[in-house]
Amino acid sequence: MFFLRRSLATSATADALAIESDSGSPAKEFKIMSGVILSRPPIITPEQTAFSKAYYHYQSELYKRMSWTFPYWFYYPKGTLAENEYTRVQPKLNEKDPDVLFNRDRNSKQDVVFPPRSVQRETEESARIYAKIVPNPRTTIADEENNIRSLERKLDRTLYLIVKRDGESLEWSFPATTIESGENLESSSTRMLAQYGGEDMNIFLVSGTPALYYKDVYESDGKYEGAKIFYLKSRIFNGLFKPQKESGIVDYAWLTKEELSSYLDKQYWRKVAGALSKQ
Amino acid sequence: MAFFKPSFGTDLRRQSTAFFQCRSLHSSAPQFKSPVSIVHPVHHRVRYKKSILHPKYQTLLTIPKWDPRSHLFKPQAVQPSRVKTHWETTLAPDLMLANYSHNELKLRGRKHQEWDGSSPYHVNRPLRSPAGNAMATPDILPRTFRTVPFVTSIWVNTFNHRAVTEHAERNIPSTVMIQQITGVKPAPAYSGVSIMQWRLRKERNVGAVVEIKGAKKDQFLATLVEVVMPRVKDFQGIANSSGDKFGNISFGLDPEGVRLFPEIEGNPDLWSGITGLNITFVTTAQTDPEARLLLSSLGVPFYGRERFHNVPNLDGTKQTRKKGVVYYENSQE
Amino acid sequence: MSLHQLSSMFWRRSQTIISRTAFQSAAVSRIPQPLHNFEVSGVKFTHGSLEVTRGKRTKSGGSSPQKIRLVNMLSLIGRVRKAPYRLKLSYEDLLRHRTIHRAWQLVKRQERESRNTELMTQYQKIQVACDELEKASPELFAQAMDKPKSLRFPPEYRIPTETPPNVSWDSSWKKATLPQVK
Repeated sequence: MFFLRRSLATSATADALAIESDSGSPAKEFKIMSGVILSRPPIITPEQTAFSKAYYHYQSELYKRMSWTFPYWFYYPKGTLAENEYTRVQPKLNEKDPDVLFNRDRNSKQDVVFPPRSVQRETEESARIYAKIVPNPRTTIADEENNIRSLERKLDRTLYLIVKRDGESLEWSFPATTIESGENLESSSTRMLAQYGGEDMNIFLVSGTPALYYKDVYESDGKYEGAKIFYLKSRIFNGLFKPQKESGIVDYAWLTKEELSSYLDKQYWRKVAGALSKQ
Repeated sequence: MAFFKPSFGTDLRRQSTAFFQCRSLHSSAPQFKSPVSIVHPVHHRVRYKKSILHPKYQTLLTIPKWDPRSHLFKPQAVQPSRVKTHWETTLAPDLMLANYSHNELKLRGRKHQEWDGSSPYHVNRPLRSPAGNAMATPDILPRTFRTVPFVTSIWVNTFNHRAVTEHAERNIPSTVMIQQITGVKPAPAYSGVSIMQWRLRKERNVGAVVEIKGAKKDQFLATLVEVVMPRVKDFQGIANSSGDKFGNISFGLDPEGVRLFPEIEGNPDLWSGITGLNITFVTTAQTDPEARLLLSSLGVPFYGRERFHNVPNLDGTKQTRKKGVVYYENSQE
Repeated sequence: MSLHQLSSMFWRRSQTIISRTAFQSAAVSRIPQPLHNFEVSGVKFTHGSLEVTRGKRTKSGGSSPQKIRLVNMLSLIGRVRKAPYRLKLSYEDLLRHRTIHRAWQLVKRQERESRNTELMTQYQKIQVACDELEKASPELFAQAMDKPKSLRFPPEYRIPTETPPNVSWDSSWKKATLPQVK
């Protein structure tokens, strides 16, 4: 098996090579291969910039100032225990102030204070339900370790799978395979993913339409002049990519778009970058 | 000629329609009628509040919308929208690829047709109705990065039958309910038809309607998909047969489902006589299957047999339907 | 005044407020709404508050708790007595607001443009790939273009949350194996 034995020359020289071989020896064919851009979609919302945080804060303060008075008389009806609890928590305003109406100063912002939820009898279940929710941290252990093989890294970004397979040149690329007889792009790429990474991945192939094309010209003489690789796009939702023994995968990594630029070969990156998402 | 003479105290709208029909030569003429009658005596068929034309209100119009002095100013960007970000980062590229069709052409919809001029009466006659004697349909543009579908707005409306049979005040709880669920001020909904068996009369206030847009729409969508739909008993999803052929999908939620909205579920004692909701997703999808794909990507389940109305063939060829009617034809022919 | 009349009065107000004409809404939001004190079968509706006159008898036999509840509910619709005073900013504050707004618009615009460019590049990549596939192998191209009419995305497409779920990634996912039938 050989894969991506790519000349380090520019595409122009690669084309020149192709022409030479065309004119000299009997015409050689390009091998058609299928590949997969396997990505993990973001799990959390993108990180906010300091400016957007400040803007949203400004807007929410304006919202509080301009929003209508909270209709507590509906949610805490008059003469009920709930009303007592509600009024107990509220800040006391001077009712004689003409600006105050329904316990709200109409010239300033309104911060609605809710009474704590009263639970009549503390059971295990109610304690679990009404326990204070502590949000999980947005960064994980994989982030701290910068574990590029983990799928729990950079939860707010799209992560792309690249692999390194043993061949003549060991280089990072998206996984690809030759199309065997009777296969199409879709079936060969599904077969390849199971062959390379095992069955235990919950994968969705977005479409049978290729999302990317890459033409690889081989340096050394062989049966083929090069390879035309058509990449399909797919998403992983659960499970792990576990390199299989006979697949020849030496290494693999889950990386964001800008990280890919330092891992991939320059020429390959230039052709591939356009099909990837920044976030 | 007493027939043409307008008499006051009767339904002006009906009268003017009849008036127009009498004057026109073709049955499709009333749909081109003007809102203002131009034949004496002139009546405005739209009511104007003349007081608002006073010059003292003119300055209000010059204040831009973002200015806090403007009556239209609303501080709405309180937090980033999860749904919108999701669509931008993940869904839009995937939908574009899934919907992609190579070298697609614009498909022309059914349009009003010219008269052939075989009769002298064809001069100045309104255009002939589209083929198949149905309404005109929009063109279907090639599916590119510019036509990736998204949800533009959601319409929610409720019909309260007790407002018909018992008293109009029964509308109040369902109206308030719709406002608390969506966060948008509702407008009254009127019945369009009379149904004797339901004791329903036309133009009666029988419910409320709301159009949700922007951040509130995203919030409503997320609540619906994440909180409500998974907990509705025996909920299969939206019927695949739903849709208006132009990318708008509707479904109904029964009162049990409405009770699962957090606003209702948190204070169940305050609400009595909860009514079901009719929910319509208005999308920029050009056909129903595209709209269903979009909604399924947002987590909405579907069930049942699918209908493929108005779906052009992928190769851009003519598509014919029953009765031999050409619904779409190639624009480059 | 009957409850029905009262509700229709609210409707009229709400209708004018939600009207789309700039003229109308301009006028309505600026004109102070005249408020009358009225009574609905024992429930007194005054400018400042909602009172229940105790012990008052009316022809219909007094206000039922349901009616009080309905009047209470009606008060949720509309800005009457709930709207705060107009926000008055100084000239400096208005300038600040304008600067913030324009900076936000600029950032949003840049984001939007970069996003559109990205989507356009992805689209061009798809086009090129399809063109090349058609040239390289028409059979494979035909198979790639032969999509099922009914497409669906799986429910695993999850709307991202602000913080991750308790299990941020399910590593132990196994492919479901069908039980073997003899």
